[in-house]
Parts: sequence; C-alpha cells; structure tokens
Amino acid sequence: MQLDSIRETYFAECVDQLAELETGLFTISSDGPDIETVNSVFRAVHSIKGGAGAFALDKLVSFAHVFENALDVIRNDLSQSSESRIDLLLRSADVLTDIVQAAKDDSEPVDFTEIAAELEKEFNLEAEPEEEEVAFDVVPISLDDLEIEVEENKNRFEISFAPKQELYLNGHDPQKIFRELMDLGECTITPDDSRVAGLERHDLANDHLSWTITLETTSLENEVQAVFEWVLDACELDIKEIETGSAADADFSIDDFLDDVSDLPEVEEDDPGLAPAPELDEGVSAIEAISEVAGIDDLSSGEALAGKPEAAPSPKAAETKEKPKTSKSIRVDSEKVDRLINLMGEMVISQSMLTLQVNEAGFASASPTGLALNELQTLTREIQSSVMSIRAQPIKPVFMRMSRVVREVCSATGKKAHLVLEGEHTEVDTTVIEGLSDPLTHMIRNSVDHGIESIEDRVAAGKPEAGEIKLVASHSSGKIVIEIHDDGGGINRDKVLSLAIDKGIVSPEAKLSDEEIDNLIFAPGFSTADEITDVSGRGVGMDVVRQSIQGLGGRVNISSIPGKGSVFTMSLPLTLAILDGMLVKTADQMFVIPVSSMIETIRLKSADVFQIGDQHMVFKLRNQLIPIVDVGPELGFADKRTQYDEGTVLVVESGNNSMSAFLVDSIVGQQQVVIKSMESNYARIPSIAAATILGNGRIALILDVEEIVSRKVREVPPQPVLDEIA
Amino acid sequence: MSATVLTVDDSKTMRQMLSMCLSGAGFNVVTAEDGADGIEKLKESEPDVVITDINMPIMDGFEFIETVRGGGFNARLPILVLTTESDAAKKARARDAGATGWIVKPFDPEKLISAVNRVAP
Repeated sequence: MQLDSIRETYFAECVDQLAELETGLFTISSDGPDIETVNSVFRAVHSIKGGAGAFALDKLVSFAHVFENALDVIRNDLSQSSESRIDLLLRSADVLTDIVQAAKDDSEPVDFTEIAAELEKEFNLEAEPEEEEVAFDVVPISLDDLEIEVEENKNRFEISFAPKQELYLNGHDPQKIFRELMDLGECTITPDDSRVAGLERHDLANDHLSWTITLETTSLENEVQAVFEWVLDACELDIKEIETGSAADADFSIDDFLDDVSDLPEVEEDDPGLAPAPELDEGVSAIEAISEVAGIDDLSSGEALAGKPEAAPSPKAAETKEKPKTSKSIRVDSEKVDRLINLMGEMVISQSMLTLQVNEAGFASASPTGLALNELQTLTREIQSSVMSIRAQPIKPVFMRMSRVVREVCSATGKKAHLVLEGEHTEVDTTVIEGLSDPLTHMIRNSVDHGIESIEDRVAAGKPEAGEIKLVASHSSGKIVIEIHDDGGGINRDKVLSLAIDKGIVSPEAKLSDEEIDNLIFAPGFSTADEITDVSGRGVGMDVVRQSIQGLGGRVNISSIPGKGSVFTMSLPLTLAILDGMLVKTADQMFVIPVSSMIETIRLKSADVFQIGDQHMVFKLRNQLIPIVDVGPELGFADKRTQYDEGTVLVVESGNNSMSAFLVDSIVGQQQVVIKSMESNYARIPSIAAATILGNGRIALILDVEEIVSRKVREVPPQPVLDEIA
Repeated sequence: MSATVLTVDDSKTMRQMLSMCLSGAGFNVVTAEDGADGIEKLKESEPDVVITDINMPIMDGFEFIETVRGGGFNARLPILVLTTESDAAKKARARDAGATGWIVKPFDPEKLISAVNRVAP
C-alpha cells in the first residue's frame, strides 16, 4: 500500500521533472546552452530514470538511459549543443512524456526504438547491451534447501589486509569489516604491527596496523572479496584460498593478541597519535583499542593531520556560499484555496453591507466609525488581492506545452516553425489557466497549419525557412491579454469571404470590413470537412475556440496583414471569482454589466433613436446605427417603452467587435462583485451570466453581454447611418 | 537505541522509498533535499549513517561529502553514495571525495539494508 503512494509521488514528480526538462531544453534552444540549465535538464531525466528503476518500469528506464547519455554529451561539452540536436532532444522529451504517461496508465507501451536510435546516432552513443537490473524482485528462498550444504564444502582463506589512511578518512572501520567476515564464518584475526614504527619515527599518515585473517567459511572467494568491495582502493589486500584439511591453527590468536595489547607501553594522553589502551574484555573492543593505539581514531578525524583542517573547506564556508534562489512553496489542496476565496467573497459582501449601514446611519467619513470603516475597506481589498494571488500562477507551463504543439504540427505538415515566448511569467488565476490550454492549443495548431506557409512558399517570398510563432502574455487594465503572432501569409480574405458566402454565413451583398472578414473564421459553421486537415481539424472549429474563451469571460479576435502574418488576440479576466462590474438600475431591478465589455456611456436623447422595421430600435452612435437593448423589457421586467427620452445608454461590445446600446434607467456605480454561479445554485438563465450579492443583501443579476449582443446583432445587423435619417 | 540514517536526495520518490525501506528495517530516518539541506540536517540530527544521491541541485553529492569530510562533523561517519551511475569514474570520484561506499540505483531493499548495516555502528 505504501508502495502505491510512493508510486503516486513518483508520477507526480515526473510531471514536474518533465516540465523542468522541457523548460530547460526550451531555454537552451532560445538562449543557448549554459551549464546550470543543462545540469537541471540532465537531473530531470536522471530522476525520472532513478524512480522508474525502483518500480521496474524497464521501458522508461531504458529510454531515459539513452536520453541521459545524449544529454551527458552536451553536459560534458557545451559546444556539442546544436539547434538540430536540441530539436531532437525536445522530440525525445515528448516521447519520454508519452512513455511516462503510458507507464502511469499501465497502457500500451510507446515505441521509442526509432528515436532512441536517432539519439544514439546523433550523439555517437555506443549502443549498450541492455543491462539487466532487477529491482524489487523478491525471490523466495527456502532455507531448508540450503542447510544440507552447510557442513560440507568449507573453504579456508588467508587474507592479508593492510588499510591505507584513506580507508579511515572515508569513514571505514576495520572493525566493521571484521564483523562482516565473522558473519561469513569462523575467523581468526591477527594484528601485524610491523608497519607501525617506533614512536620517534612514527608517521601518522602511513603507519597503520595491518591484519592477517584466516577465515573458514562456506562462502566462495567472490563473496569474501565482496566484503572488501568498498575499500579495495584504500588498502592492500590479498585473499588466498588455502587448501582445506590443513587446518593449521593460526600462530597468533585473538586471545594472544589481547595479552599483547595489555603489554603495550603506556603513552602520554596528549600525544595526538596514540592513546592509552583501555581495559580489554572482548575481541571486538580489542580491535577498537588497537585502532586507537595506532592513532586511527585521531587520524580519521582528520584533525591530527597537519594542514588538513585548513586546507579543507569548512562547513561554515559551504553554508554561506550563495545558494541559487529557490522559491519556497507548499502544496495546498486547491479546494482549501477555493474555500478561502469563497469566504473572501462573503467578506467583501459583508463589508459592503456594513458600509451601506454606516453611511445610512449618518456617520461622517472623518468620524472614528468612518475612519475605522475606511481601514477595514483597505484591509479587505488587500486580503482580497493576496488571496487571489494564491491561486495565481505563471502562465508559463501552458505556454511551454505549446512548443510541443508547434513541433507536432510541423512534423505533420512538413513545415518549419519555432515558438517564441514573451511574458510567460505573467500570472493568471488557475481556473483561467486550466480553461486556456485547449483553445490555445487549437489556435496554435491553426497558426502553424493555416498561418505559416510551406518551406518553398516562404523561401519564394523571401522569408526565412522557419516560421515564427510568438506567444505573448501581458496584463492590461485588469485583464490578461494573450496574443499569438505568426509571420505567415496572413488570411486570404477573398477565399474566406467566398467560403463564408457559400456557406450562407454572410449574404453575398454584405459589405464587410477587412477586420470583419478576418473574424469570419470564428463564425459557427465556417470550418467544414473539406478543409479540415489532419492537424487543425480535430472536429473543432474556431467557433468552438471562441466559445470556450467566452466561457472564461474573455474575448478573442484576429487581425491579419496579407503576406505578413496574423495575430490572434485574446483578452481574459484575471480571475473567474470576481468581476469588475457596472451596477445599473432599470425597471426597479439592479443589474451588473461587466466593465470589461463596456466602451462608453451616453445620456439618451430621443434624437439618437430610430426605429427599423416594426419593432427594432437602433441607436445612432456617431456614424453607425447599433441595436438598442432595453434591458428591462429585454429580460421581462418591464413593458417596452414608448418614449426614448430618459435613461442612460451603455455602449457595449462583444468579443467579435459587435456593438449594442444597452439602455437602462440609471447607473449606480462601479464596484467589484463576487460572482455566484447561476448554474450551480439554480439553473442557467438565458441572457444572464451569473449573479452577485449586493451590499444591501439583495441579489443582482450579471448580464451575459456576449449572448445578448450576438442575438441582437443577428436580429438587427449593424449598418451605416443612412443619409435620410442622419 | 536504533541507528539514525540521514538520506539526502532531491527526488521525493527516492526519499519516500528510502524512508520506507529503512524505517521498515528499524532505522530512524532523517531526510534532506539536497547537499546544503543535508549539512543542516547533519548538524541537527547527528546521524549514524548518511546515504546521499550524487546529482542534486544547489549542492551535489560530491560537494556534500567533501564538506562533511572537511571537518566539523563526526569524521568516522559512514557516507554511502546512492546513484544510478554505476561507472567506475563516478565511484572513484565519490571515493576521492570521501564516500565510504555506494549503492547502485535502483536499489534492492535488502541490499540497501545490508549496505547500511555494513557500516552502521
């Protein structure tokens, strides 16, 4: 069970490592290789491999191994990095991502032989014979089967073991080695002090006791050798197998040795090399004592060695060495944050209720109550923005994913393009980020597939072979703006227009501006089967993209310059929890209109209002007529008005630049409102996006400007002002 | 009193894995996320054995071992290197830095325990 949870940790960590890998490779591809980045990339693959080994994910291990070796080539020599190699590594990262996913889902393994071979070829890696590393294979062994042999086949070894100073410096202890040998069988350990010179010529660095050990064991020579595995280079070792039968007793037993030790001369306490031998009771402590007598203890501490402490970096120095900046973070269940944000919303509401009460009670703003309230308002705003920032994340991970999309589309279409990121550190609410990935992917696909020209066409047009897709994020007046630039051929307006006419999206007589033609690609039903390619057309048209952006409370449009390229521009709210709203009053009801969709407000004059046909009213806004949306009657709260001489017009714009004039009785004011979903609390209501609770505890509905405007524009298409009525 | 093992590894997976195996075998386990953190934990917990990864951010395994061997810590402290890199050059470098021994990843829990027992007091 615990393994399952570690497995979960592993895959969660893989996500981070893969992101790190991709980010790193991407940085290398744009800024060139630097050792820090290359190391972090290497480490990412290395960690994935390490964990994979533990879970016996063999495929993952073997691909990660090749990948790691390729990275090692660059790690050892940064000049080995080249554009094509980084590109290959980026593709390998994609494959690694797929293999990790397959391993996680336990699904069909991904075939990576081709790309692995490509890596081996490109980086001149020698194809290694697969090293069979068995991990966590528990083989049940019955001890009963083994016991039969125990008394037979005894081997006798004579081991001469002379530790060098290094052995002690590396934290080894002959005593522990002897302990292991004793586990193998019967041991006789004989110290040999011939290397320890007399006190007057004693060389601390090199004079150590050595030992001769005879071992009678059922183990084989390699098993005995294995005991010394870690000290092979730190000692002189000779293991000889002696013919069994000639079980001659060692001429010096541990007991004799104990006697000898107690005979050793007493030495001064402050002698750094030697310490007095303590009383000895057992063999083990005798060996310990010998270590001390031989100065091992002090030697291994390093302090007894002249020059050593000064030469070595002190831990203090290592500590004060500047650490790379790492942001400390904690993982918190997003539900907890959501709850906090909800509570914060309630707090904003109660605070505005309080403000209302205080104002109604007639407290002056300079009175103590007024001042305290003022402070509370400031605090509430600060808490609000801090809480919102918890959920804010850099948009970078989503952007990074797009580099993969670009590569995929390029390889599917045979085009060349690279992705350039700008403002990827811009922070956006997580909920917005989550919803952004799909539409962004689709737009990027579209940009490469339809925007960037084929290599031949680009060369013919005097452009570089590889197209450039630029993804830019920025904050602009409380919104996040994301732009996708491509340096492709731009929109072929004639083709788009004729397609739109063919499909009945626009009438053949319609006179459309360039911008309107460009934005036709977002019209429902514009993309159809005959122009759906492998890449862009995954059954989703740009109308769906627009819908999902609108679902996030944002807008998207496109502008294009023939021959130079196109730009998709998306603007999205920073958060889905709070809205900057214009509070308006009409038909004795309060409504909220998102400030983001407002362009201007105008006092209504009857001279600006015209009737078209039987029932449609239009408003003259400078040189064009836009449909009037009389909010009260529109939502069924009032009867259609007969006179248009009182009220305020709010000119609003939908995502596709269509405008309408929202007519209300009066504007109450602008305020931030907490969005309460209608769907989750009641049911979806046409024309209403959500609701909010006002300071007086009443509910106000937030208008769905997009929906209302697009409906109106369908009913009453915007038209230029005709001479007769102008 | 059971021995305390300090594990130094930047991978949470490996830390959990090591903790599970070691505590299962009765050791007390202290974990650190990189060499620098390892040095801190070393001061706080005075472990009997250290197991460290090589490839880590901030302070890698080699630097960590060198720092520990540089003085100020229990000089007889056994330090085992845990790494997927089984090549001789890496081992030699670890040994030069002052490593006591090594465990090749992916580790077999039994081998891990026996390696720790081999050097534990």
